[in-house]
Amino acid sequence: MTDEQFESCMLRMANGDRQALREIYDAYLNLIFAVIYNTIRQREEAEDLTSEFFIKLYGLAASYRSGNGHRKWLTVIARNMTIDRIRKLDREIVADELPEPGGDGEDFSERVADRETLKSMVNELTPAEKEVLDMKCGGELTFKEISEILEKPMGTVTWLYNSAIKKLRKKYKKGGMTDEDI
Amino acid sequence: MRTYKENYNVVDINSRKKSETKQTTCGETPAAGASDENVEQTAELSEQDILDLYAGEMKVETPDLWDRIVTGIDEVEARKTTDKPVRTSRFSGRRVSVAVTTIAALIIICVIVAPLMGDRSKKKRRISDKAENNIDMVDESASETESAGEHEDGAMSDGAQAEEQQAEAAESAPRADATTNGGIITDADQSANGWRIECRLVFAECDNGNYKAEVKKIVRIIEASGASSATDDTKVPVEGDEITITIDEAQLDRIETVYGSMPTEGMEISCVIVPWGDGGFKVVE
Repeated sequence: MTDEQFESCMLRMANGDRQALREIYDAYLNLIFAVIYNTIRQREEAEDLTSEFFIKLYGLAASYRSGNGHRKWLTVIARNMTIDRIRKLDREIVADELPEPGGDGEDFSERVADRETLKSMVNELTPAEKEVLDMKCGGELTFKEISEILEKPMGTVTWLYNSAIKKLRKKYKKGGMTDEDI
Repeated sequence: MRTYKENYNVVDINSRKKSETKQTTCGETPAAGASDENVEQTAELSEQDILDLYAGEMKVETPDLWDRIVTGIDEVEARKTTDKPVRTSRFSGRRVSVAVTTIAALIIICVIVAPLMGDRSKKKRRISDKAENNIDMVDESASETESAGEHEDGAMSDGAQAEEQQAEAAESAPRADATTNGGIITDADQSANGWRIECRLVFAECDNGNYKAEVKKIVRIIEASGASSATDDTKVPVEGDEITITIDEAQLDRIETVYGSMPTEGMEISCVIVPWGDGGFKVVE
């Protein structure tokens, strides 16, 4: 979704057009859910917050000021909402303290039984790698935008991204997935 | 706008490859060796293919929340509709009473309080004018105390004594028109608050027990305007240590007394000032 398309949707939403929200929802649900989930690490909370996010977005439509980088804007709102919720729940989640892959943390891919290969691929990623990959993949954010959102140097972000891609490629080979599976 | 299906079918994978390549050339993927990786990917699974697989996985894992969102929006809008009559009712009893009370209070302030305040400030000015007549007496009293070897406590008590003497002088002296003491009154009248002070404060015989004994005379001219005084070093002859004096806004209504702080010494001084000379004040304590 381009900035112009997003602005158009927001304008329509300001006039009560729910279909416009649906279009934004279709385009960015994956990104928003991933961003929220990667921060709060609880699926139920993430679902609640994602719903709240879109409800809030609908309410914000009338006051939206157009500008470049709506994806970053959306991501920042989602992250801030999640951080607020975490504070409200009196929890402190620091990126470094997040559960390691394969640990006790809830697995993003747990529910999918028939995608073991992909599941194992995703499990290989560290939370930081997954966070970057989700933003890049789910929201098509630029590395610059991701580095600004995560407040990490761009070199770190690109390193995490490349590391994630390498791991996934390696895992894919082990899993025996072929191009036909894609 | 691209739908999900469009995002992840083969045709769009190719188009995204192109866009990804563009981003790389623009410096969006500056990691070392990234381009080499892409070359290698042509023989096996490309970076874009992995991204597409991952995106597909994200999509599967993401719950469908649309119904919840619609329900939430319905609830919010219903709440707004319910609240509207209460919020927008301009003529509800409470709002009207608040508005009427506010207007009435403003009228009372304008009509009754303002003239009273004017009288009060005039009276104060008269007190200041009349105190001028007794300045010599206050000065003599202060210097007598000083010469008797009394230090801080003595100076403070003299300040109180001087204030009392001024008050007595104001009461006993015949009433004089406020405008007769031109400079001071004019300056004060220029301010909307009535107490904008633009005066020259001359500190003479400022004897404070905590201050260095050798600093007997500090002469400081302060241009005081508004809430705080501003020292102008170009005009100020200073004997002794550098001092900065700040006049608190809250104290401006008591023109007789000015408190100053001396940061370099970390202590406070209390001075009594009286009208003096050409529209200025003299500090007598």
